[in-house]
Amino acid sequence: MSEIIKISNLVKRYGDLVALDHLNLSVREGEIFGLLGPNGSGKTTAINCVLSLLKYDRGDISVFGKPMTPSSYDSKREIGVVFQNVAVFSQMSVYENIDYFCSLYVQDRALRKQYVDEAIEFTGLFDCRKKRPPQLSGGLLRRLNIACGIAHHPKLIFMDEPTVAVDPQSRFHILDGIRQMNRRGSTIVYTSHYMEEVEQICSRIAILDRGKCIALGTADELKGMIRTGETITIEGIVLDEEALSRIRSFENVFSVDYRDQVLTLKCSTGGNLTAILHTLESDGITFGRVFSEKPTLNDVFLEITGKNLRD
Amino acid sequence: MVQFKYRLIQALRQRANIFWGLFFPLLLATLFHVSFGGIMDTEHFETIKAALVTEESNETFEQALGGLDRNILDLRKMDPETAEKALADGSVAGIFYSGQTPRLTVAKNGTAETILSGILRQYNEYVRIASDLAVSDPDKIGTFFQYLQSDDTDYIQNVSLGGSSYDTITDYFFALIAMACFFGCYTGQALGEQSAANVSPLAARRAVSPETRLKSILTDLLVGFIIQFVSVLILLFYLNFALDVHVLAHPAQMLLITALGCLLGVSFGIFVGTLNAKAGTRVLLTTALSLFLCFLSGLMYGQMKQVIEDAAPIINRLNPAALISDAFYYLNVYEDTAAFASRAALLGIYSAGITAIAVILLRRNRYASI
Repeated sequence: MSEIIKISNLVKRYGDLVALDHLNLSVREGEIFGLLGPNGSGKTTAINCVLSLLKYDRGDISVFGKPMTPSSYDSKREIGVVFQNVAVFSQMSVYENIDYFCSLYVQDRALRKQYVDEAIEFTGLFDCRKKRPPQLSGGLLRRLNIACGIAHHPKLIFMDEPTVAVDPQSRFHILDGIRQMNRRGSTIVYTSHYMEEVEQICSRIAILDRGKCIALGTADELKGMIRTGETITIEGIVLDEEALSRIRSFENVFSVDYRDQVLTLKCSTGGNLTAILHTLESDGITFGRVFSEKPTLNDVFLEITGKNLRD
Repeated sequence: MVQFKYRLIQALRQRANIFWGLFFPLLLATLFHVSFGGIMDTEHFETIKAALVTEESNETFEQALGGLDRNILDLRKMDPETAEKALADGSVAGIFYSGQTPRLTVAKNGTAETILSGILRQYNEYVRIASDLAVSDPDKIGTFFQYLQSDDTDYIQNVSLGGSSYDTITDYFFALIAMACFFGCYTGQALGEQSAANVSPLAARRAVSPETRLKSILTDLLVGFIIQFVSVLILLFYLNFALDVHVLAHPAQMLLITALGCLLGVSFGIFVGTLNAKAGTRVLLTTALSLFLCFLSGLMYGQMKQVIEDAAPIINRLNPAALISDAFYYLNVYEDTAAFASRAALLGIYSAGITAIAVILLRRNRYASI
């Protein structure tokens, strides 16, 4: 697959703050590329630099194999953007908004009408196509925001946290739509704080922190990068210090947390549950419910970026 | 074309801006008309008593006062002490002091006092015109003095050098038209905010599209201009045909000044709209500056412009609202084409300058922060 976006050595400073610190990334054609990172990690800044909205201090950005500049109108014609903040005209109806933004890309009237109708159907906005944004719910507004960004059938779509503050139904609808657009041939760059969403839809994921890409790969590849291979939780268990010491000495267990009769074990590999339960039964220790979980993207994220609060 | 259509629809649906650009001037025009109705109606006019004190001989001034309609101004020559007593006991509304620079003293604010003040102002204006004519167009000075000595120079119903009727109250309406032109800044501001990517997400969405920046800026400028120009045209027609304030005696020139004024107002608004400040700050800046400029042009106090002209005329040359009302004044009252042309040229230069700044700001390729 060819590279549709290539970011090389990108540096962006806001005064003394380094927002992007020699960032290198590439997005391949046809993938849904997830961009993860704590608040202020540089996700939106990176997107705005790629879109030529922001000045940057150093580095190169190419899109569709050509350097990206504010006057790269041919490239811009193939790009769709769904911004984090809803960006629509409150004085115009749903239809008028989509038609206006589509008209910036598509001049042919008949084709534009077809695209606008498709976008309305795609985002499920047909029943409210004559309503104005102030009359729409939060979820419908988000869907309108998406429709305005994708109506012109772009080859490359940037979606910056498109599911913030929407209900589960709308979120399902949006995620399903993203998969459809990808199947239709669009490459998608997707940022979100919802790890399960990213894990669900993204073919590759980059984790950004302090302006750098600190991990890149598929969800499974990222999970393989962290120490935790399995998390075992045992509820309703009463342990003395001697039993806890024995558990700590188990092979593969690197973290033991016991509080309120709940035991949480972190193991470096999977497949430890049977051996642990067997030992507990041998010692005559009773217990309630037992869970064994493989690491999630959330675990990966927290382990890689740390658990300290960010701004 | 479709972008123009939608930008127009969107701007027209911004009720607040349409109120300030169209309905507020209409409302103010109606209020002015009602308020000044009594002053403008000569048949119900009570004669104003005033004293004339000669401090230093100025025959021109005394003749000018003596030539006024006696049904309007009852002027009595007095010595200073008697005049001051008469002013104190209210038997005269004001004292004119004749001298090299004639002056007026009044004891309070009121309609009679305003009219006396208007008479002095008009005299000063005539003297200034005569001086200007002596330099620029000596042939016309004879006509001018004939006019001053004619019976037509009564206070309420003046006749301009070109023959069109005029009264001092019309000054307020000129200032009002200037305000209406300049209030295009509200529409311009909204359009500007939707064009600067560091000001609104909507503008960012437009900036990432393949629409060229110049096209998008010119579309917005045209939309703002058309809305404001049509609004001011409605005001002009309302003044002329509904309120009988004759502002369309020279329609082509009036439209030229109106168009330049609207362009200036909209460009200024676009310029403010692109400033990376809080939304409230931008609105405050637009409102404060537009009202301040209108105040200086005489919208709230009719003689403000003259006060500035006497003290610091450069302010009147710099203030676009004063330039607009000045241009109307020279056009309709004195038919002084040179003065009119100079005001129009200045307005044109300012409009082009502000428009260029707005375009340059919006064409900025990338932003330092968003």
